[in-house]
Amino acid sequence: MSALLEVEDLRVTHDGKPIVDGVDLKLAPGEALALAGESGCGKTTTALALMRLLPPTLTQSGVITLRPEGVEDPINIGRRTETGMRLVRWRHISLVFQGAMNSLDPVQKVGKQIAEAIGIHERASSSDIAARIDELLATVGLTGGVAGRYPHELSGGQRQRVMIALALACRPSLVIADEPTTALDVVMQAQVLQLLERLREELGLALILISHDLGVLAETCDRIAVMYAGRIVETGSVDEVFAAPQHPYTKLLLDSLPVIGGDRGVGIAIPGAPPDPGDPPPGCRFRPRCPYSAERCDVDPPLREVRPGQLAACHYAPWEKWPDPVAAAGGEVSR
Amino acid sequence: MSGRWLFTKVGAAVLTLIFVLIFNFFLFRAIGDPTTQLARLPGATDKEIEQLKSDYGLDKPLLGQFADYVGDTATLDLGISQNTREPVWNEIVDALPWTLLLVGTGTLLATLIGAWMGVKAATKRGTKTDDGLLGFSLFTYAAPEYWIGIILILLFAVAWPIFPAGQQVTPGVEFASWFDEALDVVDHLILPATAMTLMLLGQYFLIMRSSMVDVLTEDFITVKRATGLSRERVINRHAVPNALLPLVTLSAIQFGAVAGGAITIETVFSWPGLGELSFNAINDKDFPMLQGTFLVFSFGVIFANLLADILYFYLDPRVQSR
Amino acid sequence: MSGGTITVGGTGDTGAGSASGVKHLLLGTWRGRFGIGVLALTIFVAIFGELLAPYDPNASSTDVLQSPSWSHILGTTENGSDVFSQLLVGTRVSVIVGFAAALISAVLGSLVGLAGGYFGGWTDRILDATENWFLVIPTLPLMIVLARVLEPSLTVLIAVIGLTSWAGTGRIVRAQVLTLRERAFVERARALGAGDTYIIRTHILPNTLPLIFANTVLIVAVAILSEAALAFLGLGDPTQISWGTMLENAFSSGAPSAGAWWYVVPPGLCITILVLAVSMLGFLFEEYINPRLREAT
Repeated sequence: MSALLEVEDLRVTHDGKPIVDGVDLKLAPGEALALAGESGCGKTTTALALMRLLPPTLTQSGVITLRPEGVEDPINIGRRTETGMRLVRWRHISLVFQGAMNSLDPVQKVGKQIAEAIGIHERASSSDIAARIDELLATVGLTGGVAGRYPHELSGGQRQRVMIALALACRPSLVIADEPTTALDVVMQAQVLQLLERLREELGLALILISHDLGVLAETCDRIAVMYAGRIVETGSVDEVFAAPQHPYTKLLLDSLPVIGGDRGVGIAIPGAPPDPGDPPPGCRFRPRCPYSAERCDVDPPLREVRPGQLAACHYAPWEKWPDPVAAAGGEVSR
Repeated sequence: MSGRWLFTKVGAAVLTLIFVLIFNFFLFRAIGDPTTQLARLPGATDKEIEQLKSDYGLDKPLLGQFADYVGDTATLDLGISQNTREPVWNEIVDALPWTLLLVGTGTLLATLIGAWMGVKAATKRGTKTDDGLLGFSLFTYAAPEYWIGIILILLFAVAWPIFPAGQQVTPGVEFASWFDEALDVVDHLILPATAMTLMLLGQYFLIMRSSMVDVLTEDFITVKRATGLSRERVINRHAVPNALLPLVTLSAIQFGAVAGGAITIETVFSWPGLGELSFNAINDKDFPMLQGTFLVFSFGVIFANLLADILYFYLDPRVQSR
Repeated sequence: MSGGTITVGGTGDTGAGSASGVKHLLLGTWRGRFGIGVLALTIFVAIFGELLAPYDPNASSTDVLQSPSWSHILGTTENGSDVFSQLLVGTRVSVIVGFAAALISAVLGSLVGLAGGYFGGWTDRILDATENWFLVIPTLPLMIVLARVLEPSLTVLIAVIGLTSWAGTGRIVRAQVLTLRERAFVERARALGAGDTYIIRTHILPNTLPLIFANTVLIVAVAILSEAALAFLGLGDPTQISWGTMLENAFSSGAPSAGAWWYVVPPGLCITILVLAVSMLGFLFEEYINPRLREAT
């Protein structure tokens, strides 16, 4: 089966300085891919580049190919004109932002906003559209009455459901969800994630889920790509990567998760701050923060297959056993 | 909820107005002693002055005088103009429509053009268009409006005489129809209304521009573009309606400037409105008239502020549910 | 909660940064250079105006409303006086009124804002209502009424403009004090038993001064425009030449309809350029204090 989405060597630059520095991605129809990393690593930029929505100050290059079901020729997103892109957006790829904040126009009723999105891509009578809106709202567990409300009249969870309903409005084959649960409380987070999972199964949607929270990603996704300073440093199936991470950054991210029922309730944060992708340190980009770094790390490591189906950008991968991180970091770990 | 909100706003406006009355009363009675003004009447004897004092109620205690003043004002008795010997209110009623015509035209044009310029500049931020519009609006903000008026006269009434330099209609002309007369008024209105528009334009432009710049960074703009809307449609249907909200509230701070502009611009163009009445009152030391025009200007600005609040209430759904 | 570095909360510094920062601000940007250049030139002319003027600005002659020539580079007035000399000598009133009125407005606005914001309660309510009143009431008509009742002179002009234009400063200072009052270092000082005067002098005022300064610079521009408008309406000091009185004389003597542009254009242009320069400086200081504004312009 051919991939739904294929991204080769995606680069995004600002004044010639890279923000996303050669990202490759592959997504099968109906598959859920996790894009993980600290804020500022280029996750959101990557997502916007896939829809060609970057602000004019940023330039993107690379080949993005989309093969939606029922469309004869593959869509070359990088080559499309702006007008051509407008037909692709929402019809084939839609987007869910951290909608609890302001992903919806505050001065327009929710129903009108969904109707507008449908109206761009389809010719439908207003009664058909109204019925579709009711159906969409029901799909995400809301009553039809919500259509007549303004965004501020809804709770954060309701707004995020509306946002998901909006994302499904034109029956896309891929939904990109950028931190869809960040602004919600724990109960709402769980509900929204369950909703996304259910919709994926029922509608056969492919999903790219972007989050800094590995816990959120583990529950929902099949595969994961970990980004650091504008690059993918590790990718593989969620199960494999979580069980046996092959990049020190992934390893430390996983260690920073709180372990419920474990001997520590609070995880260990990675000391230091991520570098600016436009001005990375020489050699391996993670070296300054890596407790395992050694002299070979002066050379930039390529992303390579280190175990079957699992790729990592580390000279010392595959790691059979990780040394004690506290000892390796010289005890410099904050509590 | 909304009834209560409206009640608070109206209450605040009424309170402001009461303070205008108090201020007006004490300024003219206490600081500017009215007996000295009365004594300016040529050949007035002490007895006549006493008579006048009791006519004006000046022999009563201050509080009683204030009550009289409020009562008179409420019944639109604003006294007699010392210059024309006409009731102040009658003169104000004659002048008011002309001021409203000038101020209304200027505000309307400035809002429309300023908002349009603001949208253009914000969507072309950092380009030559943006710089040019910014420079132009800063210049009109810094230049005195009456000076701009005089320059307009120099250019378009003297050097290249296509518009009349002053007044509201051509004097001594019998018009064949009301339509011809209206056209003549429009001809006279163009220059003063242009001066008024240029005076207000800069502020509206700057407010709209920064408001648009803010709105364009919001997430929902990206989402709207992601749904496949064209950039123009996102701007016109979503960004502009949101950016207009601050324009409505912030434009209220302009109303005071509008009143000031009415005075100076009407003076320059001999436009027979409240501003010209004020200007004549300044030069003739016609205190009842000055007091009356100040009251009407204050009332107008307070009322316009209230209208802006109410308009905002209907435009922004977020206020209504509060 | 996942540990990590804990940043120590801000020191309450509003950005009263280094001297070199201010220097760069004033001389490193074209707006700064324009503002400083125009202001320096204006102050120089305000001080030495009489010495620079080629003629006695009040001397009348029979050369009435002459267009510019080698002997009168900006022509003559309706009395045959030299326009250029009047322009130089008239600078002083604009500068004096602009700065003195802005100073009054700054002091008044700061006091009201500090008192209201710091003490709260009824003090604040009454002061805030007063501020609101001054913000709503149309300023020029208010100034006109006051100036007419008090009989115009330079002092009256300064007082009238100063007393009517402080409300904006009051509002801004009050908002800043309200946020400062809740900051940790003020709470700490209060817990340690510091008195109100001490807290205001050592914690509140230093963190509010940059804001007051930037705002006052902008008020200077407003005051210059106000003086000119009052003078144009015949409420200027009758014994002094100012750019506003020049415009009044030009207008009332019919210079515009006589096409005497040399009499009408220069004073208005001087007002415009000075107001523009002072506003530029004010905006620069505002942006310096509040870097978020830099994004918007």
